[in-house]
Amino acid sequence: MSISLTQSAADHVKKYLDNRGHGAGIRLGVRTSGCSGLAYILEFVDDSNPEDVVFSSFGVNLYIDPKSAIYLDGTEMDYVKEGLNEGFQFNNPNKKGECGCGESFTV
Amino acid sequence: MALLQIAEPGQSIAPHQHKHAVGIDLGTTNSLVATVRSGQSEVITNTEGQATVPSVVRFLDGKELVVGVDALRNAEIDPENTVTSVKRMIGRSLDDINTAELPYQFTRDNPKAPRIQTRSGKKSPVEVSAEILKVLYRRSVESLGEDIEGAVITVPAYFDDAQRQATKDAAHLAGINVLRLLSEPTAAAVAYGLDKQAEGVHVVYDLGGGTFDVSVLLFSKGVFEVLATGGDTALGGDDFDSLIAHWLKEQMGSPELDSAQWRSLLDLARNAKETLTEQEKVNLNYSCGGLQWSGALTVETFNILVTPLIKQTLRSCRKVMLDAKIGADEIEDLVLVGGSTRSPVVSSIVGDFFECEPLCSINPDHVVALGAALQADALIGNRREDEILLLDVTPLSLGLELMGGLVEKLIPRNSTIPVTRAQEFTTYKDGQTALALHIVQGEREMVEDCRSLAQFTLRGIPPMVAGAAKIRVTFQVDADGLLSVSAKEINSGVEAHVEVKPSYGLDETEVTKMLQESFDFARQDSEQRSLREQQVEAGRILESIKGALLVDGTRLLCNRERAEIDTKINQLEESMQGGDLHAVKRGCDELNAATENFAAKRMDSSISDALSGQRVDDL
Amino acid sequence: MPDSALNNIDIKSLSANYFELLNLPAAFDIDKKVLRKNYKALMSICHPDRFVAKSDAEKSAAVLATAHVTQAFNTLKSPPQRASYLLELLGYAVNFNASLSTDTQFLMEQLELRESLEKLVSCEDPDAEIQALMDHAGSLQTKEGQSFQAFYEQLSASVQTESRESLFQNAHDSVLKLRFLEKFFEEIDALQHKLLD
Repeated sequence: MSISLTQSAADHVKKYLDNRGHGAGIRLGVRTSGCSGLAYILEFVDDSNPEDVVFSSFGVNLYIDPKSAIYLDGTEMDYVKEGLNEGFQFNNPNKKGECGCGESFTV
Repeated sequence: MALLQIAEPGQSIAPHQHKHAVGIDLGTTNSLVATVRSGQSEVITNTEGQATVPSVVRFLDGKELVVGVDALRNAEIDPENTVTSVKRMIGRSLDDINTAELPYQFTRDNPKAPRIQTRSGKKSPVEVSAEILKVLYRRSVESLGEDIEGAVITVPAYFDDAQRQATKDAAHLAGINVLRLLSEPTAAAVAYGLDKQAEGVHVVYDLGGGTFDVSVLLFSKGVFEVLATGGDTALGGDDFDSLIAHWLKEQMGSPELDSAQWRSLLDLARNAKETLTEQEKVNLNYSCGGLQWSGALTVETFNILVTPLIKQTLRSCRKVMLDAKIGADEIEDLVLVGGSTRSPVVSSIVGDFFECEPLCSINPDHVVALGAALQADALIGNRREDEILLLDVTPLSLGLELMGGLVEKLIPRNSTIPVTRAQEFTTYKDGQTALALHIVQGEREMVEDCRSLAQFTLRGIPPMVAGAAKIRVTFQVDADGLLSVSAKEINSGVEAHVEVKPSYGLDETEVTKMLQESFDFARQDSEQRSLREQQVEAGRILESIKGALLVDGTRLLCNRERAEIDTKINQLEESMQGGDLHAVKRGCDELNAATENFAAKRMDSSISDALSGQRVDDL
Repeated sequence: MPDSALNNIDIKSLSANYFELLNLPAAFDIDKKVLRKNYKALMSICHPDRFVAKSDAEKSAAVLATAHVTQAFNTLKSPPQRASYLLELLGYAVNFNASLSTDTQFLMEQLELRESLEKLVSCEDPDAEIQALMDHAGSLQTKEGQSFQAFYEQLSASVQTESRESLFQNAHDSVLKLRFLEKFFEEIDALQHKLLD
């Protein structure tokens, strides 16, 4: 399985980690909630869990808990700008539907 | 679609629950807005990537107006209708404003609240400032979405009560929920992360377009405390420009200049100043209204011209160090803020004075907004882990006029805020039934040398012999630095009470009227907007109180109290479903009243915990 | 904030005396560093910034608590205020408008201090003189503080009405001297500001 970042996403993550001053990488995950079933989690990682699956992409460590991994396989995280709005976006091949806001999805 | 930001561990929030807040630097020359994304403070730019908006508003025919670059571009051809540097006028009376140097027609009907006569009517500085704030806020909404919790707006530390109140009114007029007014130097120190460093004393030297501020801050034990603040509300980079322009005029042989020619000369001066931050010499060509001149300005001449102004700022620096009881050798960091500190002569003279290598790694034009955004983010609860507390101070002493024109200071300058101070006064004549109170701000001993904030009369004192009445006057300064005063006669059970909010000459009804006029919407829209705001407010109260009940409801409340609060919660939740603005408002008020005792008990409990345990020592 | 809202709120811990509130022993001689540290710890709990997104009731409680804690801090920070507060806790009221009972030695000191201050304005190197004057006033302040502490201890231990009266008179005078010295420091500050204008 694979989960990755785009170059742009990796650059931004590195910048935020530098600014924060500490942290091993970032956690990508999903949890049930939201208007369309599942919602993404995107957090800094200070302490990893032993069961985490760890990927590296452009020098950034990605921590994924095994339960989330099945929903995220093949996902690429990008950093995009839309007008004045900017932030991270998940391109997830597993998703079948998405709420209008893109913050939650169904598989 | 909404894009994601990186959260702190364990603090991912459910979709649609993101909380955003912004920091706004409402500057004399330029204004800008910033926010925190993925833990990092960033300025919000427009689609062309521009961060700053020139603080310029041009009034056009009808109700049209333009703000920013487009307005600035026309300042020369239409000076009477193009308002620049409005920050120098906000909260000021006609006497305080240097009207001779300005191209505007001021209305003189109310000298305490001057307005500028423009082609689209009389405009108060509050209204002009509100237009700038609207542009920034609109930009924030486009970038972050509609659900912005509010804004921290920065003011010079040296701003007095009237100027702060006026700034807050401008934000109100622009439809912005003000989380806090924050001193610019404090904001800058936060942006540099000085609040995360080891304990120490820091100095922030802020030379902006129109104001100069210097603050001494102490960071220790998670508290960032302003020890003293000082400065000059009428000194800034604009004065550099003016000095250079006067020098240029001399070089031209001192011709008579009309307002457009003078404005053009000021622009030339500003450009020269900016070029000289990187070059040794600048060639100048002036051409305006038939007048032509060319010549050059060297950095040496520039330095000689502006050094007296910089020396003037050092006087304020000495005073503020005196107040803070700090010597130059105790200072850890010197932070430079404001575009004018880009001139090498400024950083060199100031660095020498404080015996410090100045910090200037963050863009001095952005640093204040960036810090304000960090504080806004903390205030709405997004930064739980490294929570720090900012303790600000009153910049000027607050007092009352006594017999003979003397001032009795109730709250001395550099008092930590919020602060409440009460003092008892008495009557000086037999049978006296009223007492006039005159509230002033300033350091001098005589009333005429201080700034008058408000006057009111306490009536209904029962007739007594002179000196028998006990009149308790209470000054209260809130966390935004705003003062309210109340007076009460306490004798043989008789009480009289009056309250006044000092203003810059606009009364409450005028503000309300301006607010109504300012709504671009039809009346119905504005009602819907009020309803929506009230519903958001209700949601906030409910969330807060339910959270508190979850933690302390069982421990601190008896069944009866709990039942009463639950009833009010249900009532408010019900009224929120309906569309009746007044019902929601009433529901909020009633729930607040019903939980007053609960809130007091919770505060009591956390203070008692701190007192009884080791917690005070641990903190 | 309407005053009525504040009147309805009763935070019991705030009825503790200022020394208890700031976790210090009730004495004239206090550790200023501990005072400041405990003040900040309390402010971290009750400051309105902690309640920005909360209900109005919670905000009012925060404003009330902060103002009270600051009042306590300001009282204990100032030597004459602290001394006066200690006497208040023993049931005595200090009248700051009263004049000193005859103490010729202190009157002489007062006169000398005032004269030195007036001379400063016209002096060549005021900074050094100011420092000397501040040191002198500072040592007077320390001495007066020690006297007060002694009177205060005797007063708290004493049961005889007569000796209590004279002890209180002494302590009261001591507060007024501390008050004079505090004002004197303020005047030096004001002078230093004036010299910079």
